[in-house]
Amino acid sequence: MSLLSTAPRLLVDVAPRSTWKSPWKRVTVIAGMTVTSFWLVVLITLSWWAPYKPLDAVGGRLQAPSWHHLFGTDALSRDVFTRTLYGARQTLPVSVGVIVCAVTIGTVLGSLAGFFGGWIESVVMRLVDVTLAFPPIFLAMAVAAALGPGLQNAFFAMVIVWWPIYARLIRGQVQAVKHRDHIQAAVSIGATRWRILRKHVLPLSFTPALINATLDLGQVVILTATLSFLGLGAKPPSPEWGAMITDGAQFFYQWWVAVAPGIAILTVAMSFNFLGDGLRDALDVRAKR
Amino acid sequence: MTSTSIEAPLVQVRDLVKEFEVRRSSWRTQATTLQAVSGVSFDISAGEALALVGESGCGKSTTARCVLRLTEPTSGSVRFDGVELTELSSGELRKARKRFQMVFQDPYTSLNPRMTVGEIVGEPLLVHGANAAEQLARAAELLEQVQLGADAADRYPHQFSGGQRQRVGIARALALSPDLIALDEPVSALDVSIQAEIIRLLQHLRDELGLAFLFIAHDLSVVRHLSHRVAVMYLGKIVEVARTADLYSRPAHPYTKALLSAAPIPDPLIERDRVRIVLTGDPPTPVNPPSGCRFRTRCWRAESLCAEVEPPLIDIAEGHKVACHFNLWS
Amino acid sequence: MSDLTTPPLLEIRDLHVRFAVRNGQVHAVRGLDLTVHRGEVAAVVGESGSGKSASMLATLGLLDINASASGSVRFDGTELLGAPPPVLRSIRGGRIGMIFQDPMTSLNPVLDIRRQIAEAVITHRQVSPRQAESKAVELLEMVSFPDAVRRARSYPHELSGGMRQRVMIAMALANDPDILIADEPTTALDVTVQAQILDLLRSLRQSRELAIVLITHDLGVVAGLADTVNVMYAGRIAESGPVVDIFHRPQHPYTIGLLASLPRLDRPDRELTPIGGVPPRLYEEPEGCSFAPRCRYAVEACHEVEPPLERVEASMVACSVLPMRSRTAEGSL
Repeated sequence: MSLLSTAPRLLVDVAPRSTWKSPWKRVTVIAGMTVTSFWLVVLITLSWWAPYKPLDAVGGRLQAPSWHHLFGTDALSRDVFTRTLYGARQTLPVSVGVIVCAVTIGTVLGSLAGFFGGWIESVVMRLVDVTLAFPPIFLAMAVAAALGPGLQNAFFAMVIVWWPIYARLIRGQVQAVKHRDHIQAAVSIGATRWRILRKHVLPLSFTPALINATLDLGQVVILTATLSFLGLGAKPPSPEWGAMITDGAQFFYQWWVAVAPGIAILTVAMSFNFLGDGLRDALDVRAKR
Repeated sequence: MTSTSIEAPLVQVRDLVKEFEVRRSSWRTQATTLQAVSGVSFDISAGEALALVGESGCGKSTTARCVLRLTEPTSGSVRFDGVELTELSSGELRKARKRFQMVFQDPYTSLNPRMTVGEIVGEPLLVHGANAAEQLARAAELLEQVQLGADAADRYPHQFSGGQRQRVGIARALALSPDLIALDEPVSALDVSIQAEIIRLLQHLRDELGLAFLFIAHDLSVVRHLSHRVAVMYLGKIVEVARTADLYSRPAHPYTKALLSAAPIPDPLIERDRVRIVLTGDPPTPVNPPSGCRFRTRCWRAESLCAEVEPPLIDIAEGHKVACHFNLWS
Repeated sequence: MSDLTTPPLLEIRDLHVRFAVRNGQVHAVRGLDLTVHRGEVAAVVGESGSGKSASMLATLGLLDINASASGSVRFDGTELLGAPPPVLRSIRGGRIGMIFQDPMTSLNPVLDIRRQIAEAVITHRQVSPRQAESKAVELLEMVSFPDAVRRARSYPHELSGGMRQRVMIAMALANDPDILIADEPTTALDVTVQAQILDLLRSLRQSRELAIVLITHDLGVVAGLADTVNVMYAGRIAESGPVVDIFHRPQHPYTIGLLASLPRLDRPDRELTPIGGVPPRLYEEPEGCSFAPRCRYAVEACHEVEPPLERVEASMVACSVLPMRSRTAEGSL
């Protein structure tokens, strides 16, 4: 009976802001933070303590994991453990860079579209529609292929794929915030449109983009690896996770060559997801007025 | 109505019209226009409180927003202290806004949750070129004036109750020492015990600062406490204007009578013995208003004349205008 | 007034409702006692957060999962609190009808109103769909829905707020309930439409001997419809009694303050006296009387001990000072 299912919900006044409800949530968030900081520390300090150089041939080919080579060696006798750690130096900056660029472009264009409407909105949103009409991986592949292989070109390709997501998100937020009374109040005190956009609209529209960005970071890591795996990203000798999996895929019985970078991708992507999830709860947009 | 006398009104609104385009259904792209305000005229003198009263959808809020040019009127004239507001460029308008401000209905959405109360109250000054020190001093003064206390300045809106937030909204409207404040249902979102505080504060400010009010409300008992004159609106038009005491003691338009008789009185002994006029039906939609007098479809006095000729708003006593074909006093 | 010797239709005793929130809990209803007799209109009055809606949702077993209720709710001899869901379902919409503030969100937008009312009938009775639909039209006529036969096929969005509320009332009455729980039934409506709905409720309670629990913040509505009034403050009854006594001889300082702060159409020259302060938020238990911090009559003891409900003349009052009584006592000396 429709009457029961839609009984009004009770609005208890929002309690002072706090963090995560369930203990499980807390575990995942702490795990996310731990793994992320582990990779950050690795990224920064790696060159001082790494056991080998990523491009040097050490020991024999395709050796199984041992105390000397934690994840064995690959076909060119390089230490897989060292290469995996060095891989973070390629993937993480690229992924963060892609997200930062995408969020910046998306925010600027999306907020202009949402706030001013009219022809600006038409132009921006048609561009967004066209881009989002393609599956992201295909579009990224197509662009990367057109620009030529290389991590830098893969970077551009991914920004092109990703900015429309944020443009659309921000535009929706701006449109929702735009009709709140405090915007009208800002108009009525004589504030300029730029001031209103900067002080009153954007600060309230940005939170979902921030949460989304953290969640997307994991996906961008995977996409970077995917492009490299397909030979459209980082080029051979450089230790990039996707490219390393390509190498490892040829050796079925020497599983360690592909598994090590695989684990790296898995941990990074999952921890970003956990972080984004926790961030969403901490900033809980819905409960705030 | 005089144009040259010394006591020219502060605000002169003439034939104000506001149309909205509505799309009746998504597959039919042809737009229909909805006339929310259909030719409204009124004056507000300096220091006077005029109330616009009516039910939801009668256009009272839209009228106020058009007067302040928060919404662009479709046609008509709004003169503020001799200046035609509808013709100002956006830059000129921003400067002119110093003299007329607004207080909003919902104290939860009308304050920016990311700004401190001090920033909110001081923003109008900042926008009009005050420096940080002036802003701080004035914000403290304003918060005292609305009885919140200067130490409220460092806190955020969510740390306050609805009534306190409404005080912040009022302080913001006072910041630039305006001549006119439009109040859009300023107490209807508040709890009963809080409403009285805000009404008292507004009464006090009106008398103390000599502010003119354009007060939008649906609650006739609140209006009675806050306004000098009342204009009753029905479906985008003013049907009666009078001084507050006259309107309540001798309502002339059938709709005003119905409104007054429908408003409940919190006293069981009086309330149960009242003879009330209960209107049938609901207000018609402004997309397709009735011909002639717009109230005729719900009016118990309506005759064939009402469907044909629209009654003009005419004087029936000093300062008392009514738009009805009948003399309901006789 | 109904006969006080017959057992009450609805009897709520020591009802507590707690909501789990992020940092602990809100004790929204703190020991509510409420009695409704057959054919009686009992108003529950209070401001937002006073627990009036929460207590009714608890009564109907409609609380969200983050809420818990304890105490006793007896409806015509059956304990509702903790009753198995099938029992609750048969009573809700059967012997207890409900209407809410916003009829639009309570109606299904994709079913025409005849189907929706028929649905309410079929849920509780063994009737054919055809019978149910003719019953639906009958019900619409009963709530004075204009042109009911033809307009029974309208969808909710085609109706005005007042008409939707009539549909809600028709649905609530579909199974001849003994009691109607109306949560702010006219708050979303304009005054002229509110007057129509109040007229309808008045005539229904007379023609069908319907008991009504009227939850509202509007004392004007209460004055016109209720027999007894229960004034709630911070999750408890501050004062309850016959409507005339509450309005003309209020005993609790909160009731007195509420009436003094009310703008009145018939008394334009009266100064409004605000109560001042804000209600407690109930994240923690108030110490002593919950109204004491806002009360102008409060003495030291008020801040220490929460006063119980006690009989004062015709009313029940939870106040240890009773300012009005001491005044009349002094006057009579």
